[in-house]
Amino acid sequence: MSELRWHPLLEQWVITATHRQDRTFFPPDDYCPLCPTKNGGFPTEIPAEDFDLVAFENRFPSLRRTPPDPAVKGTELYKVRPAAGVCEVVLYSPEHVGTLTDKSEEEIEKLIRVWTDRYAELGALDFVEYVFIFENKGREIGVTLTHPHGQIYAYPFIPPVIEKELHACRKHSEKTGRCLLCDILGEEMNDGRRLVASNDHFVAFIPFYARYPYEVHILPREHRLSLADFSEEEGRSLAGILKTVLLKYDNLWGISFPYMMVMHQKPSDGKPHDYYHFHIEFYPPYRTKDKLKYLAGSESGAGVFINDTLAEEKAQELRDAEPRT
Amino acid sequence: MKMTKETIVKEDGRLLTYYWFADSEAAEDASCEAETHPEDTSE
Repeated sequence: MSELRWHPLLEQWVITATHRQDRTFFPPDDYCPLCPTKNGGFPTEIPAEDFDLVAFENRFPSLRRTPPDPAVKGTELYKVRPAAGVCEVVLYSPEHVGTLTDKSEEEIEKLIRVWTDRYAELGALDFVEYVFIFENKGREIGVTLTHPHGQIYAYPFIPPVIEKELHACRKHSEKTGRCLLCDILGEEMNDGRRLVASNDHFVAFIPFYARYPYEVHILPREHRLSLADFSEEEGRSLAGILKTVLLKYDNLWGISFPYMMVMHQKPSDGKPHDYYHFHIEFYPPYRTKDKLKYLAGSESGAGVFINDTLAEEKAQELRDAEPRT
Repeated sequence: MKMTKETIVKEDGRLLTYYWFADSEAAEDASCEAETHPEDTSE
């Protein structure tokens, strides 16, 4: 069963997807459903062995191209609609072992090309309003399959966090005539204490308003709305800064650093949204090497994050981690 | 870097897209080769 249920207090959609309770949970390495099917072996999700990257629709999707009718009847207060959309898995390579950090810059550049293609293809579907590209990495985040992969949710609405950012950017643009994220980038570069890394086209920093201790944001220096706006050179540059940030994370404590990596970009609802600005955000769950940051009462119940650290100090730690910047 | 892709429909109706990459020079060479010897590409 799967449907969208309206939360009238928060004014946002909740996806119910009861079939996801049965999804594959930490299978043995030789029964990985994301590895290519071996000759004579059990059939996995990937029939062929010869490819660089692959994207496919999730077997346990929260959203479907042809969704079932909602199991319950809605009311005026409790609106219900079919869970239309697409949920895809993007495999970073046929190899079972490794993480995105282990990929070369050239391989990450290929992944960026695939993300860009999926953003365009899924965004062109008439029932899709937002293409959300993300990666959950590590058991701490709830990952159930270790084969290196990311995900894409093509939502039939603009998600609330994006909606909120769009609202702030539109307001700032109407007031000042400038892009809010361009101004944030300017402020971070002028201050300098929270910068983590930079290259010709991108800057990585822990923002002044970080909610997680090691929350890195990556922004293009130029005003770009989405992946589709990047030149080949900018794509290469994005691969370079991603690789740098990922290496710093892993080298900080010598562990494979868990994180949520999310991409915020122009919605696919056909409107211009010229005041928005592409960016990537990382939310690592650790606040120290052996302590997790939990989203507890204040964060979950009141929406107020309590960050036990200073962005300026955490940025310094990441600058000092190899490769030093 | 030249990207090619192929989308297939799996048995249960789900879509899957494979991606391959070739560096632009190699891809150009392969395309010239194909034009010069079209019979070579018959398979």
